[in-house]
Amino acid sequence: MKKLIKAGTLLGTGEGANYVGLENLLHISGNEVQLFRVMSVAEWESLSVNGHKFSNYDFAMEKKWFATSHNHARMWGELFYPDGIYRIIEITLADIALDYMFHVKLLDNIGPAYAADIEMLNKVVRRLRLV
Amino acid sequence: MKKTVEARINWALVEDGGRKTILPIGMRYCPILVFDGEQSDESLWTATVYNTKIDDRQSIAEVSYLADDAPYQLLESGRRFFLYEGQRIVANGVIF
Repeated sequence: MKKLIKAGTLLGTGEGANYVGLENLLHISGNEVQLFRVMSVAEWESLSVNGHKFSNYDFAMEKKWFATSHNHARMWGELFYPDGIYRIIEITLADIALDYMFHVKLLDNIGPAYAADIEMLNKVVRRLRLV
Repeated sequence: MKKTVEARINWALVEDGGRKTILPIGMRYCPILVFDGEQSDESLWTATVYNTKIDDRQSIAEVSYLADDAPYQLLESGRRFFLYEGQRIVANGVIF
């Protein structure tokens, strides 16, 4: 299910699919998972003023990447923000939502990572907090 | 050892899955970089891309990797690559 890209091709996760109906994942019972995202202070402030909804932010990536642990997010934070000025958020979503996200088994020799676009995230994120 | 190369990049049109905005000169952009013909189902690397010249949907850019232990030996002249956001190709390029 969660195959990764080959150059010049797009292989199959559910990422990029039609997101109609994903709102049901906000309320479906079952296991929940947490993902972690490191971001600039400005992106955090953008999230804060938008009611914890993701939005297009300047020229930032149009996909949002997440780590599967706080420690991995911190390691990416040290790469992206060597000055140490960054924020880490934790999102909670139904585990089934991961099937709709793009998945990399090992990114930057740090750990697994998930990516999703803003529209999807705003439909499936149940809780979001600064950690 | 970190290495930076210069590349020509062709940015995909929005209708072909490309970005809505092209990064301005000097702004860091960090997509996934996959070389043409590379088949990695396990490990991928984040690139750093700084546009230095922009002409419509084509740019000249300084390209490197984000991580210190990335495969810098692959950044060789003539190699063609793709830039991804998620699984979406947003650009292709060639190293000078």
